This record gives sequence, structure tokens and C-alpha cells, in this order.
Amino acid sequence: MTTQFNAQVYQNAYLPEGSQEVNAIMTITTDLESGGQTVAPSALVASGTPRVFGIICDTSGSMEGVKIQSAKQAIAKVIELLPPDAHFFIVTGSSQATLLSGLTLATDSAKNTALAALRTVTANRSTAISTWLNLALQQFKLMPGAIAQALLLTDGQNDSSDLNALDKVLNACENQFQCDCRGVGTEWRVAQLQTIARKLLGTADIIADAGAMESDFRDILGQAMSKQVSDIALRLWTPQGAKVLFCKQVSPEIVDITNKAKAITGQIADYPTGAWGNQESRDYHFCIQVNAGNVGDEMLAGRASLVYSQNGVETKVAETRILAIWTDDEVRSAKIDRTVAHYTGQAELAQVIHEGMEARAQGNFEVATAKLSKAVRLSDESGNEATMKLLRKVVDIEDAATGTIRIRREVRKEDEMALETRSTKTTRIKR
Amino acid sequence: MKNCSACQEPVDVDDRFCESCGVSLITDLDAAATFQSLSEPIFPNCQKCDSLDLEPDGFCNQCGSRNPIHRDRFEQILQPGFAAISDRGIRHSQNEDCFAVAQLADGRSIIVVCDGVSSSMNPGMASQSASQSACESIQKSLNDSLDPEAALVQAIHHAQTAVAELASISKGEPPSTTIVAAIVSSSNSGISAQATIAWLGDSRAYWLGSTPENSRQLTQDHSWCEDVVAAGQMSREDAERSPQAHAITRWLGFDAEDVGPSVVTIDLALPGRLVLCSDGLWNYASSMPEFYQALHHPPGTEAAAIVRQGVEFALRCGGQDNITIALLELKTEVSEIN
Repeated sequence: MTTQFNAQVYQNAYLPEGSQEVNAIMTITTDLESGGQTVAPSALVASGTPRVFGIICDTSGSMEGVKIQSAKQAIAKVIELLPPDAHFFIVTGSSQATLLSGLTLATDSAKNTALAALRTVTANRSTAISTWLNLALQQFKLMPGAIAQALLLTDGQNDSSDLNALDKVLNACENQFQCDCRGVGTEWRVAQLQTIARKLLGTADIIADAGAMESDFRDILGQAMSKQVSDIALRLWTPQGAKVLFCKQVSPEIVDITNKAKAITGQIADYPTGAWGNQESRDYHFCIQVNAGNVGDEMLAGRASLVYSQNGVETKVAETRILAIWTDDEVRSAKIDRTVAHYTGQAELAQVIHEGMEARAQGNFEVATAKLSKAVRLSDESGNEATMKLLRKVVDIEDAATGTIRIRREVRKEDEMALETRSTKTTRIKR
Repeated sequence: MKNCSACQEPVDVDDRFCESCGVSLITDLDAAATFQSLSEPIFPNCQKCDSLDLEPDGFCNQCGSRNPIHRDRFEQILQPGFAAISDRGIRHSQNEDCFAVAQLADGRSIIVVCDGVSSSMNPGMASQSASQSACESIQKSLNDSLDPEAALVQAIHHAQTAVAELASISKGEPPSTTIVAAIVSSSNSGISAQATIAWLGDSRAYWLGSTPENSRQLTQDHSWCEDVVAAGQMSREDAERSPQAHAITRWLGFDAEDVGPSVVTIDLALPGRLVLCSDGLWNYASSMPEFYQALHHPPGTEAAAIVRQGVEFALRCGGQDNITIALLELKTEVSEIN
């Protein structure tokens, strides 16, 4: 099986005279090789790359009881479901990390050994996540070049004494493996888990009810095993004097990767995109500041391509152009490309939810109401039903179109946290 | 100093056509050279920042400025009465049209015009590959004494193979293009002429006589609009207003159905001009009177001037698409004596 990449740019290239900001959305889609069509190897990325799945489980004292029991059950299920050609390991962690099951191929006997070890796990002590991630990193390093995906489960806050260490370890882990983070219950901090997930190009989410762990873990495993290629970089060339104001993934969820850029030359930077599976589609929003041109000038504001590296050999698997054309035709330059407008709106939605929830937490209900009212309006406009559903748990909505709302008196902690963690999920524009 | 291969009269090295017998002196090599340089910038240095670091698509690797490439606008003049031009237009960022023209020693003329399908990958490569391979194939077939219809069918088959092959190096929708190809021959007496035309898609051929009344469109588009009108499913006015009116129903490409081209053979009432063009022109003059008005010029006007003015007309109208026009003037012997 081979992965074919397709890239397309959406933008209004026309700028009024003197304007310097160019916005473009790049949609990247991977497709299973279509039957009967021969495609040259260079255009595709070969699979057969080994996969490593790392399970990182919190065994601190607070996990005792239902949480650790559910975790053990869910992890056991994951082990059972691992395909025989995948490698896996299990790290359990509290104030220090333990290698419950070292990196091994998922054979039946290896699975049985792991399951037996799992049964012995108990919960005690505190939480030093840096030690868990460090041990996971050592395991992943045993198989360089593999598609490295991890699942981290915690129920509480990281010890404050661990914060510096966590920072350092996250830097070491960046671009080494991706990690999906899950917080069970409501005692953990959203911002903390989101920091880890963002650094390690993974998702962060709440598992409000421990019983839901198994199905969530199955989804995460499924996603991880569907990845076909790793080390795909989004390479952006910009002209001299240009500056990338931001580069964000905007679909399926908002991830700001501006600061993850690795400079290749003064004009070329690589942005990590993590691993890709077949039949995946992601959108990226570029905002590039260029030197202003005169009416009639036409310039390439950016060349965005996808580059795949394997064994030191680089292959370009897709390329698009981001243009800037200066015009005195006001009608032409005033138009905002629908896709750009849509994602700008979705980013605003995520931002305004964040601000609204923060204001509410601080007791500033006037600001909170104003922000969440805007959030409801934006959700309604963009048809983001998933976010609207989450908003309804926090506010009572009288009229979504005008944003007429009232903040609820009683809001369950898990609904609060669900809104905060999932506010970055976006919808796609109808084309 | 060299000699014309047709009449053996001496000709200058720089002459494009023989002043004695009028035949084109452009060899196949020259045509290939034209196509070779198509994908190059016209100037080696960036017109804005002077850097020599230019990409084949014309953008400067230093300042990003767009520089003109040959493909943006190219023309070929085989005779005072035989020329073709292709222009990117205003709206499109690439010129995805292409043409190929040739004239045999015996005076028979060959014209091919192709319009790459924008929504497919590498449409410019598709139109270039199709027009070149079709033209070469026709020349070979005619030299092997095939009749014009057989030569055209064969040529379109070769073009289809060439374009289908591009699918293997392209990612996404297979490269696709329209094609309209014509072979024109004059009778020995020079009083009449015959044109055989084959096509797939919505690039067209027209005959422009001395008046609008003896001018007509020679091809019928393979488009959704034409199909429903021909089937009696809709009136032309209603069909043309539909958003899918111009969707083509036949084309060259890996995913094209195995339906052959449409072919017609026409006796041409001289004098007049045979015009092959892409929709970047006819979209602005879709009725016969409008088209005649846009392209009619007094007898004696050079073909190169007419096609260039045709491009200007389309650009003035908005230049929403690439514009390609090939024109062959056919005179009667009588008017030449005058």
C-alpha cells in the first residue's frame, strides 16, 4: 500500500495597493492508491514502515479504585487489539517511571507477558510526568525511523516540583514521537495536558467517566495504527524580506505550529506535521507578510510543499503556490476567499471560547457572557454543531443566530473541561 | 546560403518562408526548439531584482517576482497567411493552452489546438504533449499517403496515448485536454480547398468567408450544453444558463472514455480564413456574427496581425481564460493574379 498526497491552495491572491498580508489555506489530502492507476514511486511514500505504540499510564495514588481498574481494563483491550506487526511498550508512572513491558513485537506470547504484568499494577505515590515521558523516549529511541505514537493517561496535576523537568523532557521528546493525552475525571488541568499534546503533536481530551476509557483507547489505537508515513514536513519557501506571521493547522483541529518551524535556509522553513494515514485530510492556514508591491506586480508569496525524508533521501510529494497580485480593482481585492474566512472564523471561535471560560472562572460574568455569546453566534454561522453542543452545557441559548444567551448557574466540571479541551475542533466549509 | 527543399531556389538562412514558392522553411527541428524553450523564462535574470535564480515557472527564487516565461505568450508564423498564437490571458496564472502548426512541402497545412483542463493535474503538459504528438503524427501519416481522416484519427489516438502516460507522473486527477486538429489541402488548380477536422471537447474550428453569411462554425462542442440541446432536453437559452453548461463531455486523458473524435470534411468556398481556437476566445463571441466581427479583417492582412488582434480582443473583454488562435488564409488563384 502506498500513500498519495494531494495539495490545493485556496486564497484571494488580489491585494489592494500597499497591502502586505497574504492569507491562504492549503488542504492536504492523502488517498489510498486508486486501483488500476500506476503511479511512479517518487510521487508516493512507501509503507511497510514499522510502528511503535507506547502506552503511558498514571499509577499515582489518586488513581486508586475505579480509575486504575478501568485503566488496566482499557489497556488490556489495547494490547489484545494490537496488530501482530506492531511493536509496543508500557510505562507506568507515579513519582518515578517503571517499564512494565519493554519494547517488543506484538506476538501472542509478548502480549500474554504484558497482560500478566498489567495485572500486578497498583496505584500509589505522586505524579512526575517528566519521568514517564523520559522513559517512553528511551523506548522509542530503540527503534529509530519507526512511526512512533503514544497514549498518555493521567488523572491529576503534575507535581509542581516536576515542572522544570517536564519542560526539558518535552523539548527532548519533540519530533521524536507523537502523544495523545487523556485526562480521566476532573482533577487534572486542561492547560497542562494541552501543553504536552501541543508539544508532541497529539490530541488532548477528557474522559469524564472512567467506563468510557476502553472505547476511547480503541479509537486512539485505531488512529495510530492507520498511520502509514512519518516524517512529513510542510516546507515553506518565502521570498526575501517576507515573514511568516503564522502557520496553523486549522482542520481537523486548530494547532498553531508557527513556532515549530525549523529553518533550513534564510527563506525556507520546515514545519513538522507528524504521521499521516491514508484517507486523511488536513487544512493549514498560512499568513505571510511580504514587501508591498505596486499595482500590476505579481509575486510568489510562498511555495508550500510536502517533503518526505527517508534514509537521508528527500522526496517532494506535493507542491502549491501562494500568490500575491496587487490591483487597483477594489471589487477584486476586497473579496475574502470563503475558505480563509471560514477558518479565520473558526480560530476566532476557539479564541473567544477560551477567553469566555477564563473570564467565567475568574467570576467576571459580564465579559464571560459577551465572549460566549460571540462563540454561540460563530458556531451557529459556521455550522459547528459539535462545538454548539458543548456550549449548550455551559450556557442556555435563547437565539443562536443573535447570540442571546445566559450563563448557567450550575455547570458540571466535566462539561466545563470538555468545552475547553474540544474548542479547537473545527468544521469544514461546505464546498 | 541554402536552397528551398521544395523549389530549390536559393533562400536566406533567416527566412521563415521561401520567397519564390512560399513554402515554410521551418523544419521540424525548429518547431521542437520552440516547444523546448516554452517552459523557460524569457530573460535569464529577474526583471525586478536581477537575480539569475529563476524557477521554470518564472518566479524568482530571491524576491518572488513573477517573470515572463515563453509559455505565457508564444506564437508561430509559418507564412504571411498562416500563423498561430497562444496567450495566458489575464485571470489564469498559467497558460495551459498549446498549439502546433506545420506545412508540408506540397502546401498541405496542419493545425492543432489544445486546451488543458484546469481542474486536472499538469494541464499545460497535457496540451503541449497532445498538440505536439498529434502534429507529428499527422505529418508522418500524410507523408505515408494516408488520407486526411485516417491521419487525424491516428493522430488523436497517438495524442491520447501521450496524455494518458502523463497520469503516471502526476498526482491527483489525470492530466486532460481538449483537441481540435485540421488538415487543409488545396486542389491542384488552386480554385478550391478541402479541410478535414477532428476534435474532442470544446475547442473550435470556424470558416470565415468574405461575408458573415458565408462564414460558419465547423465543429460542435462536446459539452453538457450541446448534449442536452441536441437531445431535445432543454432549450439553448436555458441550457446555456446552467452552471455546468460548459462542462466538456469528451477529452484526451487517462480517464477519458474510449469514444473516438468527431470528424468532418468540408469543401471550402474560397477565399476565406480557417480559424481554430480555444474557448478563451469564442466565449467572448459565441454567436457567428459576433465571432466574424471579432476576427474579420480586410484581405491581405497578415495572419500574425489578425491572431494578435484576436488575443487583444479577448483580453479587452476580460481575458478570463487562456487564449489560443490559429489562422490559415486560403486565397483563390484569381485574387492572387490581381
